[in-house]
Amino acid sequence: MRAVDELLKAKVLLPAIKRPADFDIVEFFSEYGRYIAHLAIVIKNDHGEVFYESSCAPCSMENARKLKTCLDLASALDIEYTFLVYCFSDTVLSKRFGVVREGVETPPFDFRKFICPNKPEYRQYLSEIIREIEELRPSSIVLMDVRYPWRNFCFCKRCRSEFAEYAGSPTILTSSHYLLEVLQQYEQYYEMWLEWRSKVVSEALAEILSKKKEGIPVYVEIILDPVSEMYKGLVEFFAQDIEKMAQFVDGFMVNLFPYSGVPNERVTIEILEPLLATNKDVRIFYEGKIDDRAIKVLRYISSKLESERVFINIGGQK
Amino acid sequence: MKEVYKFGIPALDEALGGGYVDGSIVLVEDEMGIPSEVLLAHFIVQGLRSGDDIIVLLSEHPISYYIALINLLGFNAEMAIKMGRLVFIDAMLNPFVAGKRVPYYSKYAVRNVGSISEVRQALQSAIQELKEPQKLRIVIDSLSQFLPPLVQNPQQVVIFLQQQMVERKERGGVFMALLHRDCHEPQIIKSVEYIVDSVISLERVKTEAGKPAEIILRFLKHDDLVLFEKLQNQSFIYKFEGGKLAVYEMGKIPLRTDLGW
Repeated sequence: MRAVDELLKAKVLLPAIKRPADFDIVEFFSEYGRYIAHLAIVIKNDHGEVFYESSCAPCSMENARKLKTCLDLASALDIEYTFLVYCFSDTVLSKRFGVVREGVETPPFDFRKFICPNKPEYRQYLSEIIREIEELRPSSIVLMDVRYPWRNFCFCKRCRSEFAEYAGSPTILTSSHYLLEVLQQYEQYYEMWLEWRSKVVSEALAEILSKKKEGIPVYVEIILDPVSEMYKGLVEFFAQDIEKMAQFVDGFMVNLFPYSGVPNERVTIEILEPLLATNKDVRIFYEGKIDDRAIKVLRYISSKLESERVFINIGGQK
Repeated sequence: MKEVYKFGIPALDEALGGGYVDGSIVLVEDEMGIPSEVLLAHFIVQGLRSGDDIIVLLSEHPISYYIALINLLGFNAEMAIKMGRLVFIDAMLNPFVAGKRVPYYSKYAVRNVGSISEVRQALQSAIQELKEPQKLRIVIDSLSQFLPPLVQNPQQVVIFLQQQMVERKERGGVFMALLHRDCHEPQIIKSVEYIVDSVISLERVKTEAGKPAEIILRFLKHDDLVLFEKLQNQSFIYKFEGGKLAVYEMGKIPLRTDLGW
């Protein structure tokens, strides 16, 4: 799309490559290399595959070579690179550590690829991956999908029993099959449940970063979308408590409207205020459909943020 | 397009037209003193790198031996076990460690040494734990423990291989088993060779006078007859030195990748 080309070349927007395996890296660098200051690239995708030679995660040599070419070219052209790491979405391992849904509500994406954040073995696995990718010297790391997939997750055996214990084992939760509806009927337990879930996600975040050395800044993805009720949804849908998470990261990467696309009403910079109030760095990631309206909104946000911070997924745009 | 299962050894993968096809039953034959477990470990590590699920049954080595071998080849075996992608079945030590604390990686065991029916049951349980694996590699080191002279007759192993043949063709996956050629009567080897899809042979051969014998890898059988026409004329040098496996075609100058660099 021409407008996107111009905005990339004018450094108003920054490129994010979500599907490095399907992307022609050399062609991209020959066209945009001299204009780009910073590039985001997925290093572990939501399928569970990594794009470097890992000692613990699946990776094809072909993709590892491709990423190496990309990093060599970026270094030669003095382009910063940020790695996007999909955390609790991993198709390869979800059949073993997957989430359990309660109720009929279905998220607007395939939740079966999600892994319960309350699985210590999987958290250790992610911490090992972070330790490995640090060796590739990215300028920053963004942790994607550090969350529960939706508000009616997770009701696996571990989550049920740990929450019941957290809530003081009241009679209504002693059954091994209490329902979300039951929690919602008792406001105090529902509040406790939201609190407990966000504790799990914050602890998961801390554990993922436990093997990381100091130095490379880490961002965590936050989803703001009308479908998930914007800020209200961060805790209720995703169990992401900004204040708790801010203790462990250097900034937030706002995934803007991934489900609904850019809304009709004009988006103002005020939507970022609660995040900016944490005094952490804020970046934007837009992976939705790029049309004139989206460009207008992204341009506006980019102009309001102090430096180049708006990344767009260019994988499916051209 | 059918899934392929590579070794991660460029010369062999190329010779096999990319790798083994889904449903293949492969027999690796060796002689005493040949480090053929390195070939099996490569097959396991390549599976882990490709996102496949792996079941390894060991009747001659402790599991820790294979864990060390997999780690040596650059994959974190302990992590793969924790993630449930690598499942070991202990058909060697378990009966002798009764009463001792069983290590975390020894979840499945064949308690009756030499019992192929227990092997079958343990395999089924391990496959169930993997919950509908999309790509499965089963590795057995070795079948020799279940064949005469260590047991009375080879019939059970033959039936087991036939069952694996049916199961893998229906449900997918590749089955690879090691057999020590010099431990058994030739007719027993032949009866096993007849069933499987592909046979790889590793043997020590004097290639030049005055020089130590080399390990030569050959394909003795392959179910793709067109491919086998080419394979039967190829011989590969097989060397394991300094923790690296080098496999390259005889008479050709090996590339860096062929030398495991």
